[in-house]
Amino acid sequence: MKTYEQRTQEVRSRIRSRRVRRRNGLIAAGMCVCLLAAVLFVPYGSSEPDVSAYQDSLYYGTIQKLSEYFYEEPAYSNNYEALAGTLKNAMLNMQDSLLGGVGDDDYNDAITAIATAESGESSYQEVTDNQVDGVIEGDRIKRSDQYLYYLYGSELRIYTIGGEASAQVGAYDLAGADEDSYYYWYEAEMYLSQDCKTVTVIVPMILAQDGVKQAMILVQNLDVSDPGSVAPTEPIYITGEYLSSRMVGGKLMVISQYWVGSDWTAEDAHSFVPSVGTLDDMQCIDAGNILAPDSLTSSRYTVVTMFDGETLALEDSVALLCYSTELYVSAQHIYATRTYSESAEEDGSVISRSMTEIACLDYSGDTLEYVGAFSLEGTVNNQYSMDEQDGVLRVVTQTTEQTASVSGNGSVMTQDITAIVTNANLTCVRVGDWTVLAQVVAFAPEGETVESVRFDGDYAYVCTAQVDSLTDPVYFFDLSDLDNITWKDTGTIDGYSSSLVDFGSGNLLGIGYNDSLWLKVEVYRETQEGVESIAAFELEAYFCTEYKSYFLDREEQIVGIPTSDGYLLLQFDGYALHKLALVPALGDVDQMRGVVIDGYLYVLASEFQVVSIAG
Amino acid sequence: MSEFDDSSYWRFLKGDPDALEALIRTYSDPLVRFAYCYVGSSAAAEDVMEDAMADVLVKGKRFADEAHFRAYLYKAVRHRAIDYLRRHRSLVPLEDVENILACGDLERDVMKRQRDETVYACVQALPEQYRQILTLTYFDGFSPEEAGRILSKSSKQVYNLLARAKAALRKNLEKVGISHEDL
Repeated sequence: MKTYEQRTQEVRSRIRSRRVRRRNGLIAAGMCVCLLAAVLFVPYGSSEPDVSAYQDSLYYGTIQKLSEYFYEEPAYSNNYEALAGTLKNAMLNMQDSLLGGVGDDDYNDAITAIATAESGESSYQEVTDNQVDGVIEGDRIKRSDQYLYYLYGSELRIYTIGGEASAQVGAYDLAGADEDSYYYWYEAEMYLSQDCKTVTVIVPMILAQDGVKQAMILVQNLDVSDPGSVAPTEPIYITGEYLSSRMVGGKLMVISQYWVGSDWTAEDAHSFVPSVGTLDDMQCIDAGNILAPDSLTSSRYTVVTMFDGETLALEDSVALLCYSTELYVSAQHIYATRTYSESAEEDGSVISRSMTEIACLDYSGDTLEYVGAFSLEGTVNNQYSMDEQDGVLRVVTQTTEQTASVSGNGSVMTQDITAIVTNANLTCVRVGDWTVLAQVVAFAPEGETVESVRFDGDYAYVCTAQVDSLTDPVYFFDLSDLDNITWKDTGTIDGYSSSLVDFGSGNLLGIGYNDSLWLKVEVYRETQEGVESIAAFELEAYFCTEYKSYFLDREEQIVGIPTSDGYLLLQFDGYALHKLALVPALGDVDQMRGVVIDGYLYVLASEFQVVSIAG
Repeated sequence: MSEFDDSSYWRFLKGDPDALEALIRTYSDPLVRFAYCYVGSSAAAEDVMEDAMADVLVKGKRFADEAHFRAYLYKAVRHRAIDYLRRHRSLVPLEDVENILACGDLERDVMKRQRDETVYACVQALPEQYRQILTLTYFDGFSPEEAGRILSKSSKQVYNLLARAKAALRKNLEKVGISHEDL
């Protein structure tokens, strides 16, 4: 290692050479300025792009809006401004590594030497804690009364449910021979059909074809009627990135996002419209199914594609242009959101408020029908921030108000942010006409952010937090009388919950962090005075924050959580949270799952373990 | 005039010939350690630090206080280190980690130094993002918010990263026989 004197000498030398280079550069630049001035400062023509040549196109409306969107941003008047401005972000992060494609038969033949599956009809058992009853969400684990189905990496594994006699009876590796494409196995999800004969797998991927890479979603059915011989069907692809999916009444809805890049061309609809189909027959979404506001604030679509769950036949698709990634699916509707800001000038400052527009689609029929849209202040955290009950949509938003002082002159203006104020609102809106029926405004301490929300019947539970100081209150709202909404809170307590779960028996379960950022599980109950934390359990481990990874048995008051120390199983006895098991498990915490069946805990990770917890 | 206006940085900008060495003595060791998290070689880390330091001093920006100046230095080192990795594209084995802690303080207790070297080596064995966040917060004393600004991450991301980094470091330390109480 160098001494300080050596470093000083070296830095001094580099400073000297940079200054010389700089001086020389300035001289050269000065000589070029005059030459460049004529080129740089010649103003652009002011006419907007003419897209009238495409007026016969079915997508003319979309072409006009996209053309306007890309033309206006950035608004440079000459080459100098164009060079000095910022570039638009790229659409995708391209990956160089590979994992493979679909259906490697040689690999799958090699793993048939596993315990033979017993025959007999299976019945579907729900294992995922779905937000809405009957609206099934994808997950890494599904089950019937006989088998557990588990996705680990690219492999579907099937196990018998037999306590200590449980065994793996089948497997299928979705990775194949395609060495150029990249598959996001860690984000893959699956569904099990009600007759337990079909597993539907959804895998986000980057498809590499003919030297071009594109974000896609692979949707594929696997016949698991014989677990020892899993048979794939032809996959379907959707362009774009996977957001979420739902299975309702035999219909599979895949929700994705699709970005239009600045290199789009009106001559090729595939460059600016999402498409669905097999690789050799991708069909663009119908022009009539593209919904967009009058003026675009982004070039991203939120796409809802509806399939027949059994055959993956395309039933309908809708693309909402300019919408974002947070959405909620109720028993009848899909709510997609898009954020924007409203600004106003006040006493030399610009005050901006975050806003969200929520668009509603009805999926209860054979096709997706647009119902309408409305706006409210703030942004939603995730799907749990919205809930529909009896024709009323309840929404919790985090509000952000930013004040900035503006300075500068001419075309170069700068904004210095002087204040940011955050808080939370709860709004109840009638579905259909979007009348605001009730609202609670700024109910949290100023500066807090919404960390988790859960609606349960007439109650709403909200955790807001000061993340920097690791404290939070939890609010219980009574929404049974919208003309008189009341609420209680816990006051400020240490740590904060990243997930709030209705735990049954009037209890609310919070899974999150203690003040040292380790796992803290807490049970809350509403009392006459307010909301009380009645039990807590802490573990010095980090944990999976994906809400679907938690096992919940509300009847037995059991919760299972994947942690870096293994799979943790807790039981609440009305007074305290007791540890039933902590099963060390190898592998990725985020892929770990657990389920309790008839007194046995089944832990699924890189290895399969069964532990008795009876007695 | 604030305290920072009388600092080595300002004296350097005004032409004080001794100010540069004072700056090197104050900032160079932690910056080299931070650069090491990226480039994995003491020689490369020195090079990156010297380039970044020269960049900052030639630019001669104004800073409101020492905290801003220090954070700017770290950001400059980070950018230079990333440039270095792009140009060289190979991971250098962690052969000379002991050199990173060798300079500057010759009077330190030998046992403490050996423990520090072990701890530092365990940190360097972690994934890149964990190394960076632990170096900034535990070795160089940045708050999580300041570390977030240097690494261009939100507070939430920093807290999550810290939690995971601590857990991973704890496991590494236990493997080499150092417990939480020993630190």
